[in-house]
Amino acid sequence: MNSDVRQLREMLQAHDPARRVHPDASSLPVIAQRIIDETARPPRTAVRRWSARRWLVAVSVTAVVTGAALAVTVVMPPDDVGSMQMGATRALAFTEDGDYVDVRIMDPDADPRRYRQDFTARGLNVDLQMKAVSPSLAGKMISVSSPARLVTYGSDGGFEVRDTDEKNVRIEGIEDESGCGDMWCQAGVRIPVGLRLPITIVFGRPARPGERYEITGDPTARGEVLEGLTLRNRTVAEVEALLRQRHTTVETYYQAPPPPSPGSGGWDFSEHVIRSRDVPGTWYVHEAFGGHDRNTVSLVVDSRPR
Amino acid sequence: MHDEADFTRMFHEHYESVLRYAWRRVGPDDAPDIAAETFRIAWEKYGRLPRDEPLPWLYVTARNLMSNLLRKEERRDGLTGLLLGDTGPRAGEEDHSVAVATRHTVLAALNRLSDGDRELVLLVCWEGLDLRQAAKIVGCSRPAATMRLHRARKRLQRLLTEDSRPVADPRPSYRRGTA
Repeated sequence: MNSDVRQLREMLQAHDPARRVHPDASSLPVIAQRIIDETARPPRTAVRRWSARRWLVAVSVTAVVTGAALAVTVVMPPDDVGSMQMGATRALAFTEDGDYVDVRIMDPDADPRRYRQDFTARGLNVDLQMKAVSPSLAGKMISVSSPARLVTYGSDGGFEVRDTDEKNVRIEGIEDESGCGDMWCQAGVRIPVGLRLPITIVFGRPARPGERYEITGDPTARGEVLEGLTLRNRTVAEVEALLRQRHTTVETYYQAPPPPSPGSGGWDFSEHVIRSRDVPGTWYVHEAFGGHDRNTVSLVVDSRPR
Repeated sequence: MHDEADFTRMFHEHYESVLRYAWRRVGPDDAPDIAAETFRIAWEKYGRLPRDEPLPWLYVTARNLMSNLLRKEERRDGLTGLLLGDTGPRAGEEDHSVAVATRHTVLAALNRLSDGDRELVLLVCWEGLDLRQAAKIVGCSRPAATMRLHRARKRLQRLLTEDSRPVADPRPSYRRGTA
């Protein structure tokens, strides 16, 4: 053993505050089983607890999703809001709430035809697309658009779609309390009853084994490869060390936009790729993007901190 | 089902180490939560876990969780905060107040090391890891870890010998004995 190690151990071992700490052995099987029972793993990321934000009374029931045969915890709305109905194919759930109907995904892996059947059955012209996404975006709504129409995103999570007769139709997002880090996402969408405009909604679904992510989330968001880390204004060398610990590699380095321009608006990152050997370890990381392959990220860097 | 059995086995094998790891850094109140959350993430990402040697991965995950916790709560007491959980004498201690004061001096000296050096020292001394494992967790090469430990050992010895009072402690609450 190295003499420094030996001397340090002699110096410090007696002061270990946890040297007498032992967990209660009888509780270990219970804790382990609870973790297994209560934690959704990647193949089951569709299992999600629904937001009770807008509902005053929450009663947990269990619904079985057709095909996937997953137990899903559903929060039932009280009677005065309207009853929740599963779509005919049980790929979607609709909750009527006055002039709006809330739509949520029940089975992100369902065949898209099943979604269309559910929407058509309710007289809605909605094209629901599912894209392979990184874990933090699975089961979340990540885009709303209307073919050949202007969609304005509001800061409150809602959207305005300009109809052909110049009237604005308002569609609202349903807030996702768990969030997606720096990315925008919603738990579902509230569509006006009787909407006839064609709407395209994109939800994220877990990528299948070997499948690349079409859309990537904030790599530090929950469930992602760098979950819980703060990268901004750490040096490149520090971040690369953190990445190695998480078995993650850098897909691309991008030059950060020059100050004082805020954010990345108007800055085309694809035109500012830097070769990795040209990025000194003393530079600073401004931002990280998820890579399209698993365990990869792209870093936005500059010689100065952000 | 294989995964569940394997995970349960890993949990039993390493839970105590992770609990102690957290205990040494955030104290008894938060350590069980950090340990449980670490294993929750481990189960969530079990497919990607290095199963032949999961402990370094578990430590890194626990450390990130603790960093978030400390940042969120703006806790700046560092290791000396651990003394708040020190409620009674340990076996073999003749004078508990002297022992507490000495421990406080040691913890305060450790606090004066850089974050990376301190983590390396603790991993080697308290977690009992060898240099290769500790270097892997801290994210440096083994030669770099050797050099950093040498530097840390010299600095700690200097801090502990040149100042007999608790280092960097504005509170006069720990009276040193005459021993």
